[in-house]
Amino acid sequence: MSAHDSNLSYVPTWCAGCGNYGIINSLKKALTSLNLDLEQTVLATGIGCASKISQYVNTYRIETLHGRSLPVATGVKLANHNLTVIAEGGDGDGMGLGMGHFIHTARRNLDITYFIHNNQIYGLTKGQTSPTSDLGAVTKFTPAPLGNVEQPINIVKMALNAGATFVARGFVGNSTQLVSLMAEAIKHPGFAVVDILQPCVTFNHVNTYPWYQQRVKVIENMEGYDPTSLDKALSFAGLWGEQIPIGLYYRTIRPTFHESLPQLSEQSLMQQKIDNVDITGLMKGLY
Amino acid sequence: MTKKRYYTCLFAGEAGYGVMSAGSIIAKGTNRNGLWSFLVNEYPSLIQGGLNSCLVRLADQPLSSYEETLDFLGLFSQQGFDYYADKLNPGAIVLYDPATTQVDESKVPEGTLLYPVSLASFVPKGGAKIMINSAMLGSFCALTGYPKSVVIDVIKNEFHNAKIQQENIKILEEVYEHVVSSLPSQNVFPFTFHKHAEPKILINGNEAISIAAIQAGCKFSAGYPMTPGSSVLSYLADHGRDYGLVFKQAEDEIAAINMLIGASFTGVRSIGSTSGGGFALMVEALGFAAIAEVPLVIVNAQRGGPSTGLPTRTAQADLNFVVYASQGEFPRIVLAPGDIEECFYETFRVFNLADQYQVPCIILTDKYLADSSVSHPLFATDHLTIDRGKRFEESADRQEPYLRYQNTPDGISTRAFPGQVGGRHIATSYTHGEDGFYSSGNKEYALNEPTVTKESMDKLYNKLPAMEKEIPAIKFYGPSEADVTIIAWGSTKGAILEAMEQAASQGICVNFLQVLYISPFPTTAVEPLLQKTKKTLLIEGNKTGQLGGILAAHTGYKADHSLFKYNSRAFVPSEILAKIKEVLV
Repeated sequence: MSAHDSNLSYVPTWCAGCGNYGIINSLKKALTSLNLDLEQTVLATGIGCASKISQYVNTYRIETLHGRSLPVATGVKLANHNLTVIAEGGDGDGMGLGMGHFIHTARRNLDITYFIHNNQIYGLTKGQTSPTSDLGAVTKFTPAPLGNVEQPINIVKMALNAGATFVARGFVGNSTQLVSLMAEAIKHPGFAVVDILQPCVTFNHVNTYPWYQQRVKVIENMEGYDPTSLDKALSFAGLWGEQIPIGLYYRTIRPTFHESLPQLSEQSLMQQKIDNVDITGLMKGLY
Repeated sequence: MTKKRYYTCLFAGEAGYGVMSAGSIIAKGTNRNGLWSFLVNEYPSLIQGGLNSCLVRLADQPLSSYEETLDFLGLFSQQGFDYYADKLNPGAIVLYDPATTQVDESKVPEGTLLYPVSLASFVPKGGAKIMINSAMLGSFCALTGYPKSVVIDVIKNEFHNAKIQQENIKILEEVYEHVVSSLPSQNVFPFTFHKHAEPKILINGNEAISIAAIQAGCKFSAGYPMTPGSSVLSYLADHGRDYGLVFKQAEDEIAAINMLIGASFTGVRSIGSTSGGGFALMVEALGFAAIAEVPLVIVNAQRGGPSTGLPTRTAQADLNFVVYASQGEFPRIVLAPGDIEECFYETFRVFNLADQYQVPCIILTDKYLADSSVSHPLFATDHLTIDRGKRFEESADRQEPYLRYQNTPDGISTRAFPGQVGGRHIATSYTHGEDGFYSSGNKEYALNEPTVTKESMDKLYNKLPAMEKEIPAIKFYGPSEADVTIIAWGSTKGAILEAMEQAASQGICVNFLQVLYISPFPTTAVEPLLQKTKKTLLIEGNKTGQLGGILAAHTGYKADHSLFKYNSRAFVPSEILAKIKEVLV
């Protein structure tokens, strides 16, 4: 399948200048670079501006409830583990309602790739605080002068602590790196998380393109970089503010959830025949 | 047919003494020897202490209900005596351990045999506390004449560890000899046991639903533990593996139902099981399944509510909740099985209905049905066939774009599963058009939004006529005309049928309209039956008469009389018979 095939006739409804345009282009390039069969690919998204991405790519897609992309993606993967399964959504969707699912999906190491569009604000509901909003952020629900008083969630740190086996942070302003991170994440056998920094041009006037441009540092070029070390990754993850590392933080291999199930060793659930089930043995167990 | 004879024994004591195990051994032994058992467990929500009881009703013919009139009461604790002393039949036997229980003769009917045995003294030093139940069973056999060999056969069958098996049998034999030697004559149990009888199963509602799901080709289950729904999940986790089924314990019920939706969207039959509180968490996703037309089967085994309510006790108070739960409107199937037979065969049917109509389906049971074990003939499965509904077929020369939600006269469109060539589409929780695309906020769709919105809602509801026609939603028992017509749903069925038998033997003519599928409501089937009634009696396990409300909403009919029980225990035939007589006065 070509990148051309992944364009639908529908025109995205994102604002002019929205970071989501850069992310969808990077996603399509990543899918193309991997030469993935789009018929064998499922994209599950939540609800929000970011989650609308499922309306504009041409894989099998399921646009779930707010915050629920990961459990739906889990069901898809367990039903047919031969599919490539990608989940995607925003910081509110994933770190608000979806937080419990995020942690558990990570510790289970499902072979799912999770792209989080992180603009530190709720866009579709028009400008409320997000779990990733910085301290002091002034939003509709945290008005001036106080602003947000809650410690923001650091997605990379959270993913590392929860047991994700591929953890990266990208920036929509560095598309070359982002495409490569997305492709690597999809290829990774296990739960792969990419925290994608993006501005919201309409509702977040602090974390803008220039704000990020001044701070992002390619992690590979930073001293002490070692993506095989969880300790190193956590220490880089602690950086947020003057320096924001972007790139691959951590990668490791451990058995994926579906690989640990003997029922799935020979075929997927979807491939099983179901019209010849014999329950005689079960009834004997109940005499 | 000869008059049915019953024998009811009940074991009661603190959790940890093997109360349930004692009852279960008697029920199994009886079931394996040509007789019939009905076993009801009552237990509080705790791990140690409290009052557990296991009632086993035995008969020489099939049983549909329990009745709390005891012929034998085996006590492991004082609480057991205090709670059950007034439920003894004349001539009943009470076995107790004087070390733990003081019995008060004034509290029991005249002629009751109060028999003390130092049960604990038969357990060897250092032996497990739970072995007391072998002492209990030995005394039970000696006092009632229940064949000791039947109990020993079950113990041999149940305990796979040879040492534990022998220890328990030794205790049983010793107690048996001790008690028998003190009796003036050998007691004879009122039933004849048949060693080589046709095999039957002893099965509870949750097991019947689980086995039906496996028979129906269900390969995925996800859930979060919640009594009394959990045992469907544990059965599938344990036995499903041999059938290639994957069970996934989720972080909460929200995750569980969304996993089920993901698996079903991918084409795999899936089932979840919970109770009211967990179902409450699932409701948003229930609507998602409905609008995305993803088939779904969810069991709600009701317990007392609202809120945490009564975790281990029965109720029928979630009917309105499951019938109406959602924001917005959508058709759904609500099945309320009334017995083991329906738990099995209707669950199998519901998997087909879910695929055929692409709607969420709820199986509404309760603690009493889910957890009570009943003797039942083996399920015949030869006639069962799987129907997966309208499927998208891959084709090399397909030209037109595939429309997952194509408008059709019956509202049903073909399903493509991920991986199928040419079937790519979007399934969404948004209101959407034929291609699955969200109808609002997009230039191409904005102008059409009112049309698309109406069409999409009509599409869902266009399924209703066929559903109402195809689903066997009601059952009718008894003569076509009667002095009293009972209207009821769910697990009240067993007690009602037994009450009807008793009424008939006393010359009272009763019939019974069982509403098996409550949504879509079978208005067309119910209305003509209501016209032929003389007096109607609505029986429900809730405070407000929820089926009565739904019946009135659809037909305008209001039942003449009602019997509502909401004290955390299931109906027994005697109280229904008493109400029938009251209605006729």
